[in-house]
Amino acid sequence: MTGALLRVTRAASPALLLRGGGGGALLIWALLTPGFLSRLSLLSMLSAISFVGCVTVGMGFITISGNIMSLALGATVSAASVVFMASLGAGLVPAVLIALLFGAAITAAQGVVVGYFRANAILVSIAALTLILGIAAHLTGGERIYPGGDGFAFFKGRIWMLPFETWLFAGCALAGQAILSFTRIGRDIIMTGSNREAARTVGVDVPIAVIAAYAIAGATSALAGILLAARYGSGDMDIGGGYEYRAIAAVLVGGIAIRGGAGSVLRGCAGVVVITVIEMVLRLRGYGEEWQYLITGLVLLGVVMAQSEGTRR
Amino acid sequence: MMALCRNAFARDLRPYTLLGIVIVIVGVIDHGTGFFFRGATLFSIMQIFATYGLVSLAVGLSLLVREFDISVAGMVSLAGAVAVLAGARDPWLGVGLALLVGLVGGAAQGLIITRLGLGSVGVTLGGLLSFQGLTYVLTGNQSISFDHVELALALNAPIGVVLSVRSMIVIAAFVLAAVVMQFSRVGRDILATGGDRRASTMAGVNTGGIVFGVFAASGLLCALSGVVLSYGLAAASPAALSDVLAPAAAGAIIGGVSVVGGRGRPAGIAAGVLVLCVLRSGLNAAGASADMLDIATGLVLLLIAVLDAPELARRLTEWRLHRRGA
Amino acid sequence: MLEHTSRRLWLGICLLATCLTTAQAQEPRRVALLSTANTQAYMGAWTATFLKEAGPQKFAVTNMTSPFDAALQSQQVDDAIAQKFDVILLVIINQQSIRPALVRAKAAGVPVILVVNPGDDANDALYVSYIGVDQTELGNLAGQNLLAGLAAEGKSTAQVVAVTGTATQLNASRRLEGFRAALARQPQVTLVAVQDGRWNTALSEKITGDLLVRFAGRGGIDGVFAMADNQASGAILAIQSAGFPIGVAQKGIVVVASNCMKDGIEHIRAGTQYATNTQVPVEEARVAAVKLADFFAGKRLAHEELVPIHTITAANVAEFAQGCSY
Repeated sequence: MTGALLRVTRAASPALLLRGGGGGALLIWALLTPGFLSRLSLLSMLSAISFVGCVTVGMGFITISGNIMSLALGATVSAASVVFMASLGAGLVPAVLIALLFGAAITAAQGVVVGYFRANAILVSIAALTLILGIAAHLTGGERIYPGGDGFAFFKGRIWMLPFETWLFAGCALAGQAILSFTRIGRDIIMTGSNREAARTVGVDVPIAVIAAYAIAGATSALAGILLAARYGSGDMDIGGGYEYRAIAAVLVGGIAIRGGAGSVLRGCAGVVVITVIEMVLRLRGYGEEWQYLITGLVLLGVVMAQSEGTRR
Repeated sequence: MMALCRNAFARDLRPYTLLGIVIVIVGVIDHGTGFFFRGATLFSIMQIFATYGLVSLAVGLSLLVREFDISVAGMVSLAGAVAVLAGARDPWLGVGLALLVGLVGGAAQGLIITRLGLGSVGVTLGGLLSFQGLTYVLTGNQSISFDHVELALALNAPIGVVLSVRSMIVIAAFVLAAVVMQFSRVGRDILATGGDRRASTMAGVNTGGIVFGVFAASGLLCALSGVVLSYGLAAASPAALSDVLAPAAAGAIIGGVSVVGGRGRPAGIAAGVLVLCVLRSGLNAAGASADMLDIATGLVLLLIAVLDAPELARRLTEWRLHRRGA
Repeated sequence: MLEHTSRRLWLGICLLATCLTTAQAQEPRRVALLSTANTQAYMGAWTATFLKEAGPQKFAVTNMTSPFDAALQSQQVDDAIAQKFDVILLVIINQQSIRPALVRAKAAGVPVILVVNPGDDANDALYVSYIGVDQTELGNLAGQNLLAGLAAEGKSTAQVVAVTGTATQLNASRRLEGFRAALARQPQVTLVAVQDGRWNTALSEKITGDLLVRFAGRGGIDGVFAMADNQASGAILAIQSAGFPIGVAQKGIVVVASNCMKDGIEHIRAGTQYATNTQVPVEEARVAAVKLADFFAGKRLAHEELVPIHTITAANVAEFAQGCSY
């Protein structure tokens, strides 16, 4: 009993200590930053967290399903913002549904190729990224798309002190976690990510699980696109640039295992919080954008290295 | 005839077949203007080849051992910045330092991956963001000019109509890689490691050392690519001078590198990159826009990713049986 | 697709015409337009107008785009030289990395005319003319407008911040230069922070929000210079969510931008943005087409052919609403 406990503590301690220590240090550093606790910076942080957070929830599903990441999610955010703005003429609810479906469909298409044929997920996502950018450039001719209708002003408002997008993000994260923990497809996704062959033997429909993970990722990315477009009153192919890298960084910083099959949506959300806090503290302390890139990269590298315990192959 | 067709599309010959097809297609599109079959266009193709070639070789090497180095774009920028900053007085000093940075950066990633038993994508993603961040910090978020414009001109001056010093450096690196892969033990060990790592370890191959070496080599190749690019353009910039990841990955897999490891050759990678270069130059000469090129690249990449997928054959058989059953 | 086909058709017709009327003077001049991504709103509108104007002005335009890929653009200049275009119209992506290509164009005797983005001083001797707006002036006017807004609120002492376009680009740094020069005339107004907002709305909102917090305990912020109207739109959102008063009517934070878009026009109407300037793609492209015709007719172009700039405030916003809505 004691031996087992000791073994557990010993196995978990380096990573846990590192994570706990890192988190604690970050918290102290943040609290020592003048203005960090002001209402304004907390609100601005909540908004920032919500946009990247939605993409992170989706990216988490792809990672957990054993397919590491999709580099096309940032472009999906942009494309969904354009689709949402262009279809607003049909009314708000149809526009939201069309954009969500659009995001889910183009990302699920990657899932089909990855799930059925076991094609390399990263290469497929690079292909999808190149295709989305090329086709969008061809169709929009570069125009920024302004709303074809009205009625999304409440997106900019607040409900009970918190920005609207924060509620949506919270809903998105909780729903994601619920799907993962309590539904059959969620369990299938986890099992597929943990061991594809074993999942097949126990009767999991592996391709369907992978496609579902991708479709969810597409839908949450599209949600981010809708929120961004509504907030800034226009959609363009630039709006989601870089979100894919920030989302995968958040997934890994939060401690979702990159080999798949383990982790939770909420961990990804914790990763988003950490990254956003770091960025915000650096900005509040007057560091330029260049330092934010470097520190985020180093933190990510550190966190990935700390994952080694227990994931040793 | 069928057999010939099948052979032409078998992995080892596929890049050359595709290259032939692309040349024919572009030639047909272009027949009215005749730009394509001029020396100048061949020169242009080789110049683009010089931009992507080494990065594609680096990605290809990592794929060969069943890993994926996605830090390549970051290293190209970082090495370019180091070379331009350190080479202001003596360009050779810049070259030396940049190559050292590439070697050390690649080796560090290799060490982390092999010693800690981590997946390469996570580690090299951290590497990508760190290298990019370092480039931003080193350049102070500014584009930097390299005052030796004469060097840039010399690097790009045509030699024998089609080549330049820049493209010859890249070709030399490919020849060296091909010789190593073909005739040395290291080459065989790389293929073995990618084919079946556990069996190779049992057979006495130092697989950890091979993976480490591949990442170090990848860093070095990307650094060389960054130096040649930055010196050739007489500039370094934190906002990448060229978007290399997608074409590099595409070049490698079109070139017959198997994403499940163990197969592929430098000559094939070179042909794979050339397919993209011919597409780009040809479509440019025909007046097509950059988005058409994106679409073409994306489609080719997707097609190859599907063709190479390990379960493709099984699914097709399943579906055929299913249809026959129904 | 239609556009490309028709463009190719046009090129074909022109070539045919060239063959038929070899020795005659009316042969259409061939123009290579090397632009950035047409996915960018400004560039898209500019290119569309220029192509429309090219027909009546009797020159044939081949448009090659490069999605902010500096290496590709350098290659396109070389391709245009090789294809012996009569003139290269260039939207520079990276001032430093384009220099070797400009040197080669000059050596080959192909004139280069810059549009949209000016050339930096080191490139001065390498191009014939720049047709577009004075970027320094755009920043300078923004500075003057900001001072006027602050004066209207009765503030003579103030702290202001700048949220810039991509810092590696010349137009962003020129505008910042002009802005600083304008502020220098009023020493009690100090520029307390400059941050790179990369022409991006969301990033500009975040930066502005954090700047508001950073200076909340240190005298607060009285004015924001957001380089483009979309960035101003982000800054205004940040100020509004923070609950600070905004605009002259509320004696709040004064927001100005330096080039107009649809959102800026709306904010000026609403009183949340104090001013912006014209930089209208349609107008600039028309001027460029006319000047290019002059150039072909043998007239000498000035080294800088500047398109006039107008300041837009609540007083005259109706006049410019249409041109700015692209």
